Amino acid sequence: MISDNPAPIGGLRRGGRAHSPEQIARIPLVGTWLFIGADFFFLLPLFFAFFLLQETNNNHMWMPAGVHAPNQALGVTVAVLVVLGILVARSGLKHLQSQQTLARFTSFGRSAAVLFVAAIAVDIWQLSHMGYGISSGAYASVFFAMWIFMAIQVAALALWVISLANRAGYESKHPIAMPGPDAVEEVPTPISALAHSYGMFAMFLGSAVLLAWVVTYFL
Amino acid sequence: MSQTAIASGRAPVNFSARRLFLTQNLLTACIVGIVSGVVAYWIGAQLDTTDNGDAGILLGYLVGAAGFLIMLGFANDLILRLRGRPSASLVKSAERKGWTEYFGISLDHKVVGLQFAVGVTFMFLLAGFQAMMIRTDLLYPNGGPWPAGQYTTLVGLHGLMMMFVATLILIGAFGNYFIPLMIGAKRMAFPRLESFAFWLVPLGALILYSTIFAGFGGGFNTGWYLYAPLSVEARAGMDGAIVGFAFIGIAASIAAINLLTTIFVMRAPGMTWSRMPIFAWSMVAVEFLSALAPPVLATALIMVGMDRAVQSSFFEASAGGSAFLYEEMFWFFGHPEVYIFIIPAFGIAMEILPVFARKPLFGYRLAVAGMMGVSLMSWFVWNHHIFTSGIAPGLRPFFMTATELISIPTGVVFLALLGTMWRAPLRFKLPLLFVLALFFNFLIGGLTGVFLSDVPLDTTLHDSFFVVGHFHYTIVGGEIFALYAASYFWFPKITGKMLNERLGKLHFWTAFIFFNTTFLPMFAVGYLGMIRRSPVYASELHGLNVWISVNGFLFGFSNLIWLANIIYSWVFQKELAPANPWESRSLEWQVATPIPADNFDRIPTIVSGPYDYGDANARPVAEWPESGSIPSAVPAT
Repeated sequence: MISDNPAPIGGLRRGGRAHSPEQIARIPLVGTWLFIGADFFFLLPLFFAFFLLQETNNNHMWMPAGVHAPNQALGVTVAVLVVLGILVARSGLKHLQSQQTLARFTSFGRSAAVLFVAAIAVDIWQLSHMGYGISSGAYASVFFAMWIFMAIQVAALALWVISLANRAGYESKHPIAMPGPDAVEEVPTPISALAHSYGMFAMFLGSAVLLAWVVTYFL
Repeated sequence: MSQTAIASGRAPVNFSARRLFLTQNLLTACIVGIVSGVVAYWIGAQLDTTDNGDAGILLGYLVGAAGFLIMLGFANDLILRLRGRPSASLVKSAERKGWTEYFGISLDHKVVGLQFAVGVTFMFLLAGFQAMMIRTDLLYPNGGPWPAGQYTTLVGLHGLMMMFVATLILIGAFGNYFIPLMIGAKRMAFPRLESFAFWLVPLGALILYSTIFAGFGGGFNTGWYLYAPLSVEARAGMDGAIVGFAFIGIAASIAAINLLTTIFVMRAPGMTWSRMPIFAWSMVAVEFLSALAPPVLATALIMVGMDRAVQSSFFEASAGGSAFLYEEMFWFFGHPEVYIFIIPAFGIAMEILPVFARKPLFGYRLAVAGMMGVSLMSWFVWNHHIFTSGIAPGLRPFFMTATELISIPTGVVFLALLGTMWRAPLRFKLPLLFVLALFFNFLIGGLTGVFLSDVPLDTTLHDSFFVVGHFHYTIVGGEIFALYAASYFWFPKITGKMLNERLGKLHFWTAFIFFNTTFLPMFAVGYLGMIRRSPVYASELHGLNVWISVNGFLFGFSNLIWLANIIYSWVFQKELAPANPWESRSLEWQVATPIPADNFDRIPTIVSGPYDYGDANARPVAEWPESGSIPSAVPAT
């Protein structure tokens, strides 16, 4: 029989009553890596469609007369706003490491959310002022689908960072007590682990937005 | 609703009539889902500028589904998190909530596993009934009781529903139920997502079946592939097929991310990779496919929906699209999907066999490598499905060779099974009988698959009944027989009762014989030129088709014996099962029955592997803390 001594076995602590805080903190990190993989495969067909339809150019309808790559300035604006939002959010993450600076993340998180919302607004404005619609050939279909998908994902990014900002504000006033070594109750997922997961997903999505921008505007 | 109820992620249970209509529960979820769906359909129809009404139907399905899920309580935790509150503790009280927890959100993986088991089995029986209808139609060479249009819808519904079943029955039911127990975890990594994945399944199935009703276009005529451009131009029933299929894909992907995270993170101390049960390894191998492949399908289906509802042109060649684009995307998902069906079946076979062979699993590491090899290689073979669809001729040899090579890791799994049986004192109990039948059936399914990967043969036999015979041998003969084996093996752990042996033997012999007498002749009719998805065939093949239909009905009947056995043994049988009737070493058999709500009072420390059978000096699989769960010597209650 074993004692409750937390001596490591195979990289993990000996059995206890609840899962360890280290395990709880790893859950969102591993889950987010897998989610990024799934999201990669969710977005991949759009890029595949772009290149396959461009190459086949069936009935010369890839870019029929009147269809052209849209205004560069708007595309740059969307991409820059998303990247700026990610940078602002990530630069605030360091404040989540200590109880004293938690509240500072709130302003970073809300600023990032504003930038994301602005990017979505510019994207919507762009899609409604293209001069042609989604049914104007294959390029238009891929372009609309690509940027609608991106807008939805950036909206999710904004909601996620708002939840982190609110959590940081809440936790700065209501510190979460760590359970004892023999506690049944698990520790809630620490905000630092959630924020790290957010940072990983944001970097992935930022890369996807930049890639979408390069592909749809320049290729 | 109270803060406590929101924090726990559950709707409060209160059965006074007044509260029943005000709180979040299955009844209000259904009402709100239907009402919001109808309203959204009406709004969409008003906004739709085209005359086909697809935008309204798609909007109706999506909003209705959202209303249903919100009223079940899935938005509660999201709102809580958006407000910045930490998620509530997931450790559950040991006290059970009663039967009502099966009709709502449950954070207990065992409840969700049973929800999957019952729900998907119901879908299996429904789709099986459709198979009987198909075979009834094929009793007549020039078309049977159903008009040709309805026949193609029937084939599509049967195919799609069976795809749903095959994707989820082993992973959803046995994966969710047993993986945390097998690896020494108290819960799944994401319990709310686990429940969400389950509730998408009945939603997807209901939406799929709603397509047959008048007003929604009376079905769809594409088969389960939903090939474009036919799916773009098909009648309105196609919208439901798209949404239903996408929901199942999303459910599979979410369940996979959850199971993988659970296995990677939540293993008990000492549960090293080399001590992990082989069924858990099969979950690792399959869930990479299940997490990554369905998102490709989801995007392809969204594109079809966009082509239908807003006239985008992904798949209309005249508007710059390409039907080939859909085929590529569909099969990029579709072939890994085949291994999503069979790898868990391999895992179950290898999990069960050592218990009844009383020998360690032969070549444990090789078997793991075999399953991982199948999983990896399944990404590189999808084009063999479209050899006849205009694929560049230069690509054919690569995909032919890749497909043939995948038989090597599959052979390694077979080697592990054979090696385990070699000179073993086999105990011919029901789970083992079904594993042996799986072994036989899948061998035929696998070998005919090698034939079909060959370009000249594939070109000849493409879309014939030979292909139908092949995939039924792999999916039914492999996966469904694994389902039978798993149900006989784990039923005592789940219910505390044994399945009736006599009925089980009757089920085994009828299922094994009539499965083979149904599907083996399909190779012959296919070779003789009978094509699939057509209610009309050459009159020379009438006799063989009558034989297939009659045997198909008998195989269908064998499933009713299985169902009757489950109901009889669970509900009417009084005698309790021994705590560990098969004398298994695996961790799930070392906890008491019924299993405590949070599995282990204290998380055990794993000290040896699960397959050390036949070694009198083998250490117990786990050390239990002093006040830990009750070991298996305690009888089931």
